Amino acid sequence: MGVGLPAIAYGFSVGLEPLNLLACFVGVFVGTLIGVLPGIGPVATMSILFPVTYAMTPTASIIMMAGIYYGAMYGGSTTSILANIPGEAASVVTCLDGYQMARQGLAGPALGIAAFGSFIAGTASVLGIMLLGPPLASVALRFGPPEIFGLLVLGFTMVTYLAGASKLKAVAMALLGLFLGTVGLDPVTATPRFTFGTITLMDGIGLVPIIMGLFGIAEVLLNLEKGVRQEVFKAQIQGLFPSRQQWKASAAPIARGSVLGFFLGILPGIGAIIPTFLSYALEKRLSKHPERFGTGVIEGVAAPESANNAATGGSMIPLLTLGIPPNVVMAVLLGAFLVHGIQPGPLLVKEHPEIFWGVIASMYIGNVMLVILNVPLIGLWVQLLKVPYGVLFPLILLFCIIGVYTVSANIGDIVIMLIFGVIGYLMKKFDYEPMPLVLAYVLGRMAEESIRQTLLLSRGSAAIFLDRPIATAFLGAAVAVVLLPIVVPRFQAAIGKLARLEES
Amino acid sequence: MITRDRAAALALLLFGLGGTFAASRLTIGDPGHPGPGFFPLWLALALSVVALALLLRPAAAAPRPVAVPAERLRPGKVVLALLATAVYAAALEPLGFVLTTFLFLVFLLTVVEPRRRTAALAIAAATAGACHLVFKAWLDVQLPAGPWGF
Repeated sequence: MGVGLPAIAYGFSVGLEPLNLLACFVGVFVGTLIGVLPGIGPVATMSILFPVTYAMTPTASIIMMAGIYYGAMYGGSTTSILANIPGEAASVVTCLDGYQMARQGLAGPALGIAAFGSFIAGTASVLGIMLLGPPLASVALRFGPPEIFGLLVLGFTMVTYLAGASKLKAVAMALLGLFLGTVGLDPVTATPRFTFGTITLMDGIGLVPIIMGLFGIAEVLLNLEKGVRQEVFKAQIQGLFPSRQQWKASAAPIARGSVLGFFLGILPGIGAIIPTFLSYALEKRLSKHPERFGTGVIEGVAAPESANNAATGGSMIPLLTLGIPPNVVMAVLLGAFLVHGIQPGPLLVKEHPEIFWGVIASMYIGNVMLVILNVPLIGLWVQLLKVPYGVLFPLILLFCIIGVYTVSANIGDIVIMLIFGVIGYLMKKFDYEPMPLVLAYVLGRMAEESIRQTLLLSRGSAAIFLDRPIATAFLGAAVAVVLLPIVVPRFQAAIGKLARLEES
Repeated sequence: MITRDRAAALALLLFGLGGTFAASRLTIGDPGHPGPGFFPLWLALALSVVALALLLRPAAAAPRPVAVPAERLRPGKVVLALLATAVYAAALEPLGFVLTTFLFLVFLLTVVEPRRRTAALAIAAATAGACHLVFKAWLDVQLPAGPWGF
C-alpha cells in the first residue's frame, strides 16, 4: 500500500463499511457526551468501553476509541462556554472568553466557532498524520533494541520534565510505574515476580484497573469531597453560525492553533492541554488588542479549541508509527491494540493497512459527524448538563466496576482498582502526578525487554549506545532536556512556564 | 512534626526498600546476562534514592493555595463511597449483578448524596435493569448471576 490518494481511498473504503461507520458514530457520540459532562474524562470512558471492543473487529474498536478521544475535545467546549466549567482539562482556556461571550448573548457563535474550529483543526491534523506517518514509520523500521531504549528514555525524560509541580516527584512516579510494570511473569524466563502466589497478579497488574482507579475512582472521590457546583447558562442559544466578521477574526487563529497543536501533540508528555494555553497566549501576543482577551473575544475560543483537536491527531503519530504512546489516552489506545493481538509500530502500515488507513479515514468521517452532532444537538447537551452530580457519580462508579470486572471476570481486579483509586486520591492530595506513573507502567515492559536485549547484544557494555548514531541522538536529546534548563536560564523559564501550565 | 510531603516520601521509601528486598531474592544475573531480578532491583534502588531525596529536602516554603477551604471538604463521603464499593465487590458474586447493583445505587443515592427516596429507588431500579439489558442481554458481557439467575 503506497502513500497518498490510493492509500486514503482504501482507508475510506474501510472507514465507510457499515460496522466501522457505526463504531465511529458511537465513539464520537459517547466522546461528546462525556466531554460535556464534567467529572468523567476520555481516559476513564475508553477504559469502561474496553470490554465492549472484544466482540468488535480490531479496526472498529480502534476507530471507536479514537472517536471518544477527539469527540471529548468537542464536547468539552460546550460545558466551558455554557457553564464556565471545563468539561475536559483541555477546555480550561475556552472558559475565559467562551463564557464571557455566552454572558453577552453570543453563546451561539461561541459554540459554533468551537465546533467549526475543531472540525478544521481535526481535519488538518488528519492530513498531517497521513503525510508524516508513513515516512516516520519507514525510518522507525531501522530501530533495534538500543534505539527503542534510547527513544523510551527520551520519552520518560520529557514526560517527567513537563509534569506539574515537582520534577523529583515525577521521577519517583515514573520509577514506581516502571516497577509496577515488572509484576507478573518475567518476559524472558517466565519466572513469577512479585505475584505473592496469586493468579490475579500472574499476568501482571491490569492496565484497566490501574487507569480506572487513578482516573475514574480517584476523580469521583475528589469531586465528592469538594462538591461539584453546576450553573448552566439559561439564555436562549441562537445563531450557531458565526457571522462573516467573526469568521474573519477566527480564520488565522484557527490556522495557527491547528499547526501549533499538531506539532506539540506529537511530542511526548505534552497531551492536549498545553497547546491550548500556548495558542491562547500566542493569539493574545499577536493581537492588536490584547487587553480585550478574557472579555469575550472570538479568537480566544477559536484558537484553543483548534489547538486541542489538532493535538489529538498529532499524538496519534508516535503510537501508530513507533508503537510508543506519548500520553495516557494513547496508552489506553495501545491497550486496545494489544487486546486484539496487534502491535502498533513501524510495521502497522504494512501489516495492517486496513487499521492504519481505516482509522485515519474514520477521523475525517468522525469530524464531519461531530459538526453534525454538535451544531443541532447543542440543546440536548445543555439538558444533559442539568443532571446533578449526585446522580452522575454512582453511575460513574458503577461503570468503572463493570468495566474492570468484564475484562477478567475477577473480583481481585475490582480490589486493585479500589486500591489505585485511593492511591490516586492521595496522589492528588500530595501533589503527585498520575501521568508519569501510567505512561511508565505501560512502557515498562518494552523498556525492560529493549535494555535486556541491548545488554545481551553488547555483552553488558553500555558503549553500544555510542556506536549507534540514532540511539546516541535520542539519549543526547534526553540529556539536553535535563541539562539545558540548568545551563541556559531562558530554557529554565520556558520549561517552568510549560510545567505551570500543565499543573494549572 | 512530620509534614504531609514527608509522610508521602516515607511511604515511597518503604515501598522502594521493600521492592529492593523482594527483587534481590530473584536471580539478578550480571550486565552481560541480566536475570529476572536485574531490572526491578535497579528500579527499586533508584526509587529508594529518589524517595530519600524527597524525604530529606527542605520543606516547601509556603503551602500551595487550595481551591476549596479545608472546612468545606467532606472526607466522610469519600470513606462511605469507598466502603460501599468494597462491599459491592464482595457481594457481587454471591448476590448476583442486578440485586447488588440496585442496593449499591440506593445506598449511594440515599446516604452518600441524599435525595428523595422515591427518586433514588426509581433511578437505582432503572439503572440496574438497563445495565442488565445492555451488558448481559445485548452485549453478551459476563456478569455474575447469583442464586436467582440474574
